[in-house]
Amino acid sequence: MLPACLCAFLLAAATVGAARPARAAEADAIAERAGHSVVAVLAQRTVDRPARRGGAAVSRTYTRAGSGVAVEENVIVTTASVVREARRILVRTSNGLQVEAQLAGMDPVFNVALLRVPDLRLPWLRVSDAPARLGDQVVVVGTSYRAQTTRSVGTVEFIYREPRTSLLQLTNVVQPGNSGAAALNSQGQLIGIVQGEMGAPESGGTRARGRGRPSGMSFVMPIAQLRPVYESLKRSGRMPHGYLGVSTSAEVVRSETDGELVGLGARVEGVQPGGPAERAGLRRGDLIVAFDNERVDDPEQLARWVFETRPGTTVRLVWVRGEVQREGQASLGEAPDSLPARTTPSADPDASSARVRTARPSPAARGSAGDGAVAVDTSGR
Amino acid sequence: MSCDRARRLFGACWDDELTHAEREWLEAHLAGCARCRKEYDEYSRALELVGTLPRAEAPPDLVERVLARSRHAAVAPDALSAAPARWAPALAAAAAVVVLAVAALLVLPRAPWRGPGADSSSPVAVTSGGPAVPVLVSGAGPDADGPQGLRPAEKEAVAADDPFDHSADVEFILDPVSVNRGRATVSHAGSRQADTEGERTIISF
Repeated sequence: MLPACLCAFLLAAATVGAARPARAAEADAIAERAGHSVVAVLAQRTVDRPARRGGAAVSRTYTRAGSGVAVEENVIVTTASVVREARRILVRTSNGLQVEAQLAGMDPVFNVALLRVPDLRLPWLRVSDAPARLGDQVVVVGTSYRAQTTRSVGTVEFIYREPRTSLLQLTNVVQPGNSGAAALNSQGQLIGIVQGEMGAPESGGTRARGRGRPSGMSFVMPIAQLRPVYESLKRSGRMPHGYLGVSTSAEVVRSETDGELVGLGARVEGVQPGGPAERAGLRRGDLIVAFDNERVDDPEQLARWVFETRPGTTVRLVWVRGEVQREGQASLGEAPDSLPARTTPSADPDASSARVRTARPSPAARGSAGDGAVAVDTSGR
Repeated sequence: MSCDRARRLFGACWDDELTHAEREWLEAHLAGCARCRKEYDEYSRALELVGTLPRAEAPPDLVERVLARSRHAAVAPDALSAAPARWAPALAAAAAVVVLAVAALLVLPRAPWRGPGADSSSPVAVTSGGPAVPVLVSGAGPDADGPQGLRPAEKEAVAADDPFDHSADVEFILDPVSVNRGRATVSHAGSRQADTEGERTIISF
């Protein structure tokens, strides 16, 4: 009995011992190969402060540093959060070449940006055709401080599925500057690009920046989602977004069990005349509670789902009016702006003009902002 | 009848070779004919798909082999003359492969990282065009192998431009992701967390 156990144990130990180095070597080879296709992206913005009395004008350069992945000889994919507001974008390769890149297009909703580097020929990464599955081994290759390459091996731990998108949660440790880094499968093919890592827990509605220690939970946008955005940006420099034609506000209740605020849905504050929402039968005062069989918790979520849908798509909405549940189909139009418009009704009831709280449209969308804006009645409350 | 005419224009439309009148006619037809619209969608999707295929590398002796075989075919015409018309697509495909291979052979020497002498997969600077000359950054990784076409004099110019000095204001981007009730949200410019406790926001979309 004992010898048999010992034998089995030794056999198992030998198998594990043999398998480990082989896997590590494989991951090393994948990272080594992909390292040449991953670049550091440096997005610079210069802010000129006007001269004060007796002083000279000060100009200061801010740089946002992230990673980028070559998917064609001179086309690089990165995240929009890296290059937003940039006036000048530099790309630095693994062997120390630095060139200026042109922004071919970016989409703040899907958080994807496309760069062209005519002065470089990069070895590009093959793209995986199969969707990532739970437990798949993933190698993440990116850049961090001083444009150094980072590397991490992990697995797909969870897949967050939304009506239009999904997000892979990995065990890989990512570093600051890894936004836009390459996530590779065991064949060395690109399965997605890194978005970020688990931030610090939220408190009091403020967004804490999860900096300092790596949390060991990273998030990757899968390639299936990246591909249509990439193709659209490459073709036209922009990505069309769906448009419902409503203005909504949050509707929350305080839970009786734990005292937390729970979102109930999106309260319709205004409907664009003749817009998709009005044609679907929505009216002011309705509470939208579902979008394509998914529960709507808050308006931000609903706005994101609508924006992530292609114009022309028919979506199913469920709303509550009075005590009655109703439903209807809305054929989405095309959003005039690159981001949903947010306004804060002024605390002063006499002031009728709404203040724009987050007006940060992408450069491409600037100029078209305001077209087709929804009339919001702010005096009614 | 008009559907046939529309389908004959698909290729030219994809290549952007239609006259203005033809384009207008085709667009009007597509607007009114669901079948042709579907056909054109499929057609363009197929071409897009083909366009994304990786470029195959031709073996170095392909040209010689193809030429030798075509010479052989020329002296033995019987092998081909008996071939029925259904071979035509295969022949066209073979011809396309030859053209691609020759094109690839012509292009390949311009891609030095694929060449026999160079490192097999390093990024390479394109030195022939453009005012922006790639520069080798001082203090780069140990594998900085001094690629061709770099001017050492440019190093100083880069040093002033280098964001990695102490006075530079550099932020390393890694977007925070928050998870709530089975939904993960990346906090970047395009997505904001619902601000349930803050002031009331009206969002239009």
